[in-house]
Amino acid sequence: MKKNEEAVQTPLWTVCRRFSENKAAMAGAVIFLLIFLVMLAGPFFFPLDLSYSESTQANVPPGRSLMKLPSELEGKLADIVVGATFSVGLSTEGKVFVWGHGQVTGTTDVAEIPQEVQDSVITAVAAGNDHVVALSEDNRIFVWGNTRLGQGDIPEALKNADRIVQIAAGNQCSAVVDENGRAYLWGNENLCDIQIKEEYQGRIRKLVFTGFAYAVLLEDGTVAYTGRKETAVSDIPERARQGGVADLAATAQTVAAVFEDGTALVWGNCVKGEERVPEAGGEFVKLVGGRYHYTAVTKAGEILSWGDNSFRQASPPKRKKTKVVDVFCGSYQNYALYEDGSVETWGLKGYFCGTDEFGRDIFVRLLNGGRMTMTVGAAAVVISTVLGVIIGGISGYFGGKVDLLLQRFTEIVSALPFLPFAMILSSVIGSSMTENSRILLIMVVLGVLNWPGLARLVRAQVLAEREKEFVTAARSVGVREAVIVFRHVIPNVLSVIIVSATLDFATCMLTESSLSYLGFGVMPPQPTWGNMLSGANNSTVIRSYWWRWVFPAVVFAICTVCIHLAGDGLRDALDPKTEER
Amino acid sequence: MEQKVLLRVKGWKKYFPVKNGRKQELLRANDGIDLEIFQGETLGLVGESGCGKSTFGRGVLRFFPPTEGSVSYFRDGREIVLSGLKEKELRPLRRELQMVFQDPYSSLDPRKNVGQIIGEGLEKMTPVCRREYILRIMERCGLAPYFINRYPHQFSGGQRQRIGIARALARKPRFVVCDEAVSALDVSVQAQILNLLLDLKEQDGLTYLFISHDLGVVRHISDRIGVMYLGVLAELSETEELFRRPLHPYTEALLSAIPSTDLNESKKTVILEGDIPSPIHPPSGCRFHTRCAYCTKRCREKEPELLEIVPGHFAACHHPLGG
Repeated sequence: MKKNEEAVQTPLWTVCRRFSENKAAMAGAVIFLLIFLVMLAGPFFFPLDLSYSESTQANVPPGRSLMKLPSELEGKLADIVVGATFSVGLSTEGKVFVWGHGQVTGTTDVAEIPQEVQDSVITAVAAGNDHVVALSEDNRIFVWGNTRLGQGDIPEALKNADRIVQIAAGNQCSAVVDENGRAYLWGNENLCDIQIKEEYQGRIRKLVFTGFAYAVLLEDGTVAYTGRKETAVSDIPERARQGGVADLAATAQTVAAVFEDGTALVWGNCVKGEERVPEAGGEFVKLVGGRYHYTAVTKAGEILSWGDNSFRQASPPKRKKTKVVDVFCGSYQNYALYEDGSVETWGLKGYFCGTDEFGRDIFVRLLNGGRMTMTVGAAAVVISTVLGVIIGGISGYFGGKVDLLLQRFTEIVSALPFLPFAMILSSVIGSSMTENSRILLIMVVLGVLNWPGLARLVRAQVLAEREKEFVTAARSVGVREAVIVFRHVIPNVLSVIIVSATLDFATCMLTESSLSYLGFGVMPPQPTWGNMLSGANNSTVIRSYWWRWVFPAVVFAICTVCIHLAGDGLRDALDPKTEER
Repeated sequence: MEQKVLLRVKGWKKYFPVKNGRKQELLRANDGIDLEIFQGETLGLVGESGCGKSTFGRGVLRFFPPTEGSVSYFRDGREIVLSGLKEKELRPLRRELQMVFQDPYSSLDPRKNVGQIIGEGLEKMTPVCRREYILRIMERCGLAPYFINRYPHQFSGGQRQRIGIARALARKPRFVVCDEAVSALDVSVQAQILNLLLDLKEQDGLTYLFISHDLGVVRHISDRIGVMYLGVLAELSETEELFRRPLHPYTEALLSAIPSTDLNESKKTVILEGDIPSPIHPPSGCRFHTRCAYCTKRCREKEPELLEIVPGHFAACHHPLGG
């Protein structure tokens, strides 16, 4: 017999060995640990902005194909316009293609291009948030997509208009400019200031939409705000009013003017760095705006992007050998067309797990919610385990009257109807609390109501252990009672405690989720797996937006099952009855 | 030879409260035992299951206070009344009064290794010194030195019992109660353990109270034997004297129940009828009268006292055999 071989056969080692031989338990433990680590580390890589909400990105299904150009467009790309979650491409032959997520309402899909559009030769396209406008060779205007709010009510006057030179589309509104410099606007007036002051008619060269207004470039090279309401972009800087403006571009909240000398100026409600035009940019040849960012091409053929970079939409690829011909940009997507006909894309490809009703990325919420759920679960388990061990231990070791009293108390606590009680507690005490102390309260409530099971288990185990002869033996040596408890009784009860705590962890997570699902736990916007599921309590969500409940449910289910597998395996591994010599 | 008394038990009674329905009743585990244990002897204690042998053994070590009676321990010529001491006062004496347990499985903490088990209570020694000491004890008890890091589940029953003995021995005791110390072991191992106990006794001058239900074992190891029946001592005598000339009918029945391998030996077998009566309601008079073949009216009415019928041979019987 080798000495070294003998030394490692500790009970702990035996337990580990037996646990590792149990394949299901091992798989459960590994998968759970993986999920746990991902949830722990994930939020550092995908931080959560609690106040974030983006109506244009609501209910996007999972996928990574928002910038996947159809192969038919290869080599003959003329133009790309970008809507909220879809892109529309125009080929040099006048054909229109739509890709991305075109399902703008429950029943409308912009990818269903009307037959008359397919039959015509299209010369220009424009995309609003949820509709598309196209201009045909024979001066006809087509609108499709969401047209329920007047986006499709083309004005009568337009029927007799002269040749149309520009079409534009904004948030549920559309506009065209004819060769005489007259602009025609129509759509949802509530969302967008689409009035036009008559004195500017006849002088308009270009019209751009922001999310709520529009700005025009006049024929004399000045920029004017021709709407009737005061908005964030109506205060046009002096320089742009002086003239010398060559081009206009807009994001959701800002307008940018490119001057004839190639410099650019941004004004409006700059919240995500839209105004920070790169200094050493050189002369801009083309400037286009996305939702919160701008992309420009310089005379030197360099692509520059600035503004919001949360989806890397302001991080253009490194310069290629071939020359950039054109860039197209909108929403969170960018397309660059090169001289050799190749197209490069950057920005938001899509959402790994889709988005919810507020346009929040479900994957990010899943990670952050998991951390919250596990934190609450773990804290509750720690509280309930400490309580259970102390109460059960005292009850079991001292016995007699103390035992009787504590057992009745345990029974009272375990007789409390858990969910109603937790709800009442959290709504009575919790309503006057800050979010963080509410979360703390939920941990405490879960912990304080969860200990009776463990207390009974520990009591029974302590009762059994303290009668064993090795305790008598220790006593016969003159070891003190307190020392006996810590040296002999607790180590032998520890296995029960560990198993129970493991299984309780899953229970506490489930309970927290039930509470949050019912709206009494952690409140949105702070995500937990439970309140992420609470959106799924209506049939529309269940049928149409499966990704909103399937992902949290599946991850949660896997997690719970794995914890139980691991806990059961642990129980088997620790069970002295399975102990062989 | 003048023998020094090590322990004197007087009028020892131990009753346990039991609940029978709503009634609170007393289980008379030990009901008046008088006994002297001499220094250096091995006193065997035999009897049926449930007759109170183990209760007596543990009571003598003061694991619990008696209901009535006293135990005195003689140390350096001084008498210490164990049954009158508080737990705190007892603690320093504990190490001199040790016990070897019946069940080698439950008597060793499964989470401690052999070194820790044997070394418990020796914290005052320096670690190196302690390890040396533990190894020496282990060697004496026939345990290989490399066992020191092993855990109880890695041993056979016999080896575990050796660990139990080593644990008791490590405290340098004067008196050891062996409570069914070999009953859980198989016969070949029993012999080894008995011989080990005898060797250790000779080397250290120990005194044993050897509790067993196995007469063969007791005969092998004991100098004197006490026979217990239903919480009282029925007979007490030198080993050979008891086997040669039992005085109590119960002893006679017990002895005749020893299976023999000698085919030529013709033996009269006394068969006891019925079960041992309940210790909650012991029979009146002589406790054995319900099963005794020689029972008379007097036996039913008057409880016999333990009397020295032959010098050194005590029996509690109104009609001692051969008397």
